[in-house]
Amino acid sequence: MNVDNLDQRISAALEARAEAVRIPVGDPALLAGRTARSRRRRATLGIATALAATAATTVLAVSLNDGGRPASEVATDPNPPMSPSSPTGNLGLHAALRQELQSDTRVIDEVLLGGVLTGAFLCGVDLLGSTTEDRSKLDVHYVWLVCGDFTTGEHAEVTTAGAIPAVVTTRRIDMGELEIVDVQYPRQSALQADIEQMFPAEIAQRILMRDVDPRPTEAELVEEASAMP
Amino acid sequence: MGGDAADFIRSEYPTALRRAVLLVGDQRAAEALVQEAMVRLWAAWRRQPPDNPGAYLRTVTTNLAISGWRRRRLREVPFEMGPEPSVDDSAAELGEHDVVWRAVRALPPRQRAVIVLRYYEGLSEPEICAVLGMAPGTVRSQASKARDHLRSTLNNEEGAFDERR
Repeated sequence: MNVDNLDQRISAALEARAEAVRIPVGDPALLAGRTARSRRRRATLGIATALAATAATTVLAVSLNDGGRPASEVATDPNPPMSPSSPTGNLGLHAALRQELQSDTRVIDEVLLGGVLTGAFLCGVDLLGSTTEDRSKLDVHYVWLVCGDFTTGEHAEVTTAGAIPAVVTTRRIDMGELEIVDVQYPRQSALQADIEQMFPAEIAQRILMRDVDPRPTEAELVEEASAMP
Repeated sequence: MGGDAADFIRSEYPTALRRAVLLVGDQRAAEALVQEAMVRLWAAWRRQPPDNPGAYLRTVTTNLAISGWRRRRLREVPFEMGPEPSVDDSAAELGEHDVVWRAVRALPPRQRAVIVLRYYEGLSEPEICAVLGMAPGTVRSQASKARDHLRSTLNNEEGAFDERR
């Protein structure tokens, strides 16, 4: 047992690990430039879309259960009929859900693990699927949320972020308006079991494999935060 | 603008990726982290080329690794399924350095960042303070805790190895 030469051993181990890194093929500059330009365009479009959707869904009201509870009975069917789009269209629903979810203190608590919000709380949402129940006028939406606490202004950055799946239940009112009536998360203590119980099998598999693509992306959220005072 | 930024990114990418792997301990996560850092560098370059783009990239990468990206990965750990390229895959290649690397990898992100900046990047204490935005006392404290933890871990691991022999 010899750790007297600790400094040298650390340096040598890090150097060896660094040398073993595989450098992928491809042009990282091309990818960076293309992504940066794409994000700028999408950030502009995304903000405009969100504002338009918010204006169109003035009746939105959120009633969230306590975070960390298992799914309600509306989401226990492992293979419910899936709807490719919501009554208001996925784009409008996506923006409306995002707007409400990121302004609710219980969502903030869930993502920040009870921490204190210090900046702007922004979310990206991947709407993974929806089920429709005509008689009750309830729709269940399966989403992946990536939310964070962002500093604002020119040097905006994310300071804390969390990614969680959620089951969002909405009620259709009329004229395409929606009311969010429930949001449920899997328990951290029983994550995989709750995901498999709460989500249809195909979506649960996507969540467990992290086959998700929340929008806006983190970089777009940073852009959005940078436009805030 | 694009030419200078592109040239810099191409030349700096291998260095940035190696640094990121040491910071996050996982090849795939490191690639995503470096891509994010490169995109931010590109955006910053568009506004005004950084005086020292290498330092800018190091700072962004390191702070992404220990702040938002760290927390996100912690929350997402339970979702990891199936085999992923990781440092464990190349454990055999690391040979005698494996025990030390595993111990470094197990450090909390801020302590690991201090160790990487000090022992791999060869930065001085003031330079580490500038990268991490920490006071000198905090950097010293983090480095001390990290070294104590590494020493303890290596003592335990190598003690157990001696006993098995």
